[in-house]
Amino acid sequence: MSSVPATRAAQSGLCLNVGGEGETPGCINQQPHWADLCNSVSRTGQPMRDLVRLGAVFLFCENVRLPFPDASVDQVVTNGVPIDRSTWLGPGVQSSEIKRVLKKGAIWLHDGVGAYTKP
Amino acid sequence: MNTFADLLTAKPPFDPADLQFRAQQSFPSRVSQSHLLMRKPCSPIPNTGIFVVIGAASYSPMELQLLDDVDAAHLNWHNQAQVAVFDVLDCQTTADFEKYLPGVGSVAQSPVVAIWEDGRLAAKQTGLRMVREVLQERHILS
Repeated sequence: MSSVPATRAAQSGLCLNVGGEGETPGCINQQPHWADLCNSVSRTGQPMRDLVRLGAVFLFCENVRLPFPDASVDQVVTNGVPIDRSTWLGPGVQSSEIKRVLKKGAIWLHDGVGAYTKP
Repeated sequence: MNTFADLLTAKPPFDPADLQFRAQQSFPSRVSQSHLLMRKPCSPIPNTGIFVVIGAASYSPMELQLLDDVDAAHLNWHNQAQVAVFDVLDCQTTADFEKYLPGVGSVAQSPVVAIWEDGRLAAKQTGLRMVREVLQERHILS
């Protein structure tokens, strides 16, 4: 996965990369509790601790409950993460949460493709 | 559908969960069309030769691309190694990995690779970059 360019929404408002590893500039990178920023390497090959040092913002919270009010996020990005399914690590990203936090008219980009626009 | 990566190809708008579910369902069929073997749980490790097992996430385009790259490099390895793969979504607990990768221990992220030489575990690694490096060192990847 190459770096996904920040969109206009991400540049002008709140962009949330659910399961993000710093691959989309300008987004808050949400990670579940099992993520290890000290010892792991991102999908794009950078040590996670280097991403933090370079200014990437990480938010640790459970996938099943994103700590954002309804209709408060200008764009959601997901890249290479399980949607609506559990893995051996725990519950994956929940599409219901993504759709809840998106503002009206805001877009969910999944693997670089517009998957959903909030009506 | 010609590649592993094609399993996750979509045009907007689409339902990512549905796309991933279909990719998971189609994964074994795609393996059967490749030069790779499908790794079955609790199958034995061969006592001779080089045996490579890769666990990849069928929901990850980058990990499916890894399998395409390994498959494309089969002329490099097909005379010296067997390469088997499985979908990490088939593991619901950490212990499930033991059925696919005996002796490897806990797996913190995907993809995961383990390499046995004459039945002895010779290498193991997780994470895309490290897995690629191990496979390149062993000439499984170009």
